[in-house]
Amino acid sequence: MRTFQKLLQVPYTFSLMNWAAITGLFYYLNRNQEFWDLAAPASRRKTATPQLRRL
Amino acid sequence: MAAIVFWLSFGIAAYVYAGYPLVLLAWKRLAARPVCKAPIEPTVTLVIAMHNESRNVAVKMQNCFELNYPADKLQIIVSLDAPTDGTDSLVREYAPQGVDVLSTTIRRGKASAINRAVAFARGEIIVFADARQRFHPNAVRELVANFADECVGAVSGQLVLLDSEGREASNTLGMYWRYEKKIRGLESDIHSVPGTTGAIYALRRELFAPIRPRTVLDDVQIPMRAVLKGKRVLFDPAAIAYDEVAKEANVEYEKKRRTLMGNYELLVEMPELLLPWRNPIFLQLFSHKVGRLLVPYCLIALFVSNLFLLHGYYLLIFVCQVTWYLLAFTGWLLATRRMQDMAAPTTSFQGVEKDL
Repeated sequence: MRTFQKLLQVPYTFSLMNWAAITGLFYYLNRNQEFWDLAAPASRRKTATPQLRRL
Repeated sequence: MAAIVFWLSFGIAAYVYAGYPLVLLAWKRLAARPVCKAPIEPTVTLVIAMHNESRNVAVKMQNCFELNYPADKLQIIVSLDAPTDGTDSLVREYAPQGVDVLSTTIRRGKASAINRAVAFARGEIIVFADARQRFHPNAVRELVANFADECVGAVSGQLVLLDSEGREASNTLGMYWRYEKKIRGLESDIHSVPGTTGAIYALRRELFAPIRPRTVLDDVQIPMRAVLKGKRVLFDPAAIAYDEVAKEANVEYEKKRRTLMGNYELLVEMPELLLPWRNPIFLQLFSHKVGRLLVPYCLIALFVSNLFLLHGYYLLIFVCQVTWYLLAFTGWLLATRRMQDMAAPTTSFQGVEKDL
């Protein structure tokens, strides 16, 4: 039974990894919106300059 | 038309996963480029970027102190990216032992943390590490030995995935990772690997230029810049870091999706990589990275085109494809069931009770 389950893992893992490439593109395209936000003028952004602290 | 699409899709998928490794094997036999490793001891800066890693801090820092490298030549920088789980105070406890801690109050991502750390680095060689993975005591020494060869710009170590019993993982993910490492080894023997392992890689400091904040794959962009500057990027299996293999493929899926998303980003950010006259490892990058992005679409095209070719041996191939995806679906059902069992302890307990 364990061997059968291990064998099932091969097509499952291979398909999952390929599916990851398709969803990866989807996530990349959606994330681009955040890139644009980062490129926006500082006045339109909610982030501020980080404070560096060295110990 | 359907036959052309079918064979083209089949050809690309077969080349990426089987043909390309064979090309590398033949290439290595004809034109391997050995590296002159030597036991040198330049100054090294170990950079560890962390966000919320309170669980791993103690083990990681202990691991850093156990490295077999002269302490006076090893600078350790922990670059914190606005942690919220107490990582900050835990890491500061190691400051008296010489660990440099950089901290920000606003989360800017790993790439920014790396940029900040390298700006403070004093070493001639920068070694990048993650918080979770443990280094073998000789890992830094092995990485650094490759820089005795002037052609070498960056070196990737080997990530060994261990199962729960501490042995090298033998499940499908472990097998996939071993296949991946074989390919990297061959690429390294010929010229360069198109990317390194984020958990363990080293770079000549002069080759570093700050990367864009929010870059997903620092471990690909940073070494590929070295390649574009005419240096080699090696894979050295003697420099080892250890990690635990994911028990479920779904966990690995999340990592893979992030990696592949980063590959799309890489091609947009560094389009010169797709120019064969600029990129000396164009074939490797195209076959290894771009090919992996193309294969899923080829598999879809293969299946759809096969629907229009249900005769002769095409019918047999179609049956094989359907069987393959049915097995994949069954594997998914079993994995989902296992995850539900893990998420619901009462169900597992009932199972144990029944076994008793």
